[in-house]
Amino acid sequence: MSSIGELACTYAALILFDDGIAITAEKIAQLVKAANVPIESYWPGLFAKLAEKRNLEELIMNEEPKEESDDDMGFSLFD
Amino acid sequence: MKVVAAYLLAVLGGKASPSADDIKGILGSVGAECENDRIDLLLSEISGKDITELIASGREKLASVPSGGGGAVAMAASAGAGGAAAAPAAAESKKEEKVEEKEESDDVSFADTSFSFYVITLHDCPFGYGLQSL
Repeated sequence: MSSIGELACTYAALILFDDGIAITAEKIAQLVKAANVPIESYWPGLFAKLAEKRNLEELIMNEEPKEESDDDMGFSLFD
Repeated sequence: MKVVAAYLLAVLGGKASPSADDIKGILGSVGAECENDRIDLLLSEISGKDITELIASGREKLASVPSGGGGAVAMAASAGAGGAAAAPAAAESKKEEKVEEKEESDDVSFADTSFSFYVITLHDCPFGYGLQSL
């Protein structure tokens, strides 16, 4: 499923999102470091970029089963 | 919501049972505010339970919830994990109460369910899919 690094950054991004703090690579790295989780250095940057592109609230709220559509991967919870 | 996320982050960092101080430390590292009540409530709800179990049992229950309600339940669950156990959830929004009424499981297991739902949501957060589209 998800690697530890990915999970850690997910949690970090959620924490920042919850408090309305800007989701930047530095902040994500700070959080993960505070929790003592070893992650690959590319994750925070990737997540910060993702947060820019996608509305996190939508990602969290929309967990519909995958429809048979061809666009852009969709966001599916059930594969 | 961030309290649970901080808790899970601490667990990833190798602490099998994060303490309130651990959670505060994590939240504090980026200046996120943390309410002690929430942290204590979460820890008391979790204490003695295996997080992997909670996630597994929550996953089953999540499967039986209609997908439309899933999102709302997940969001409310974050508030619900704080509010449901401490019955008069005055501070939380009315939306959470409405979802609580719709929820069919009994009160006793609601706190478990809420937390499990919430944990599932975090774990199944489709960041992976999102990343592929970067």
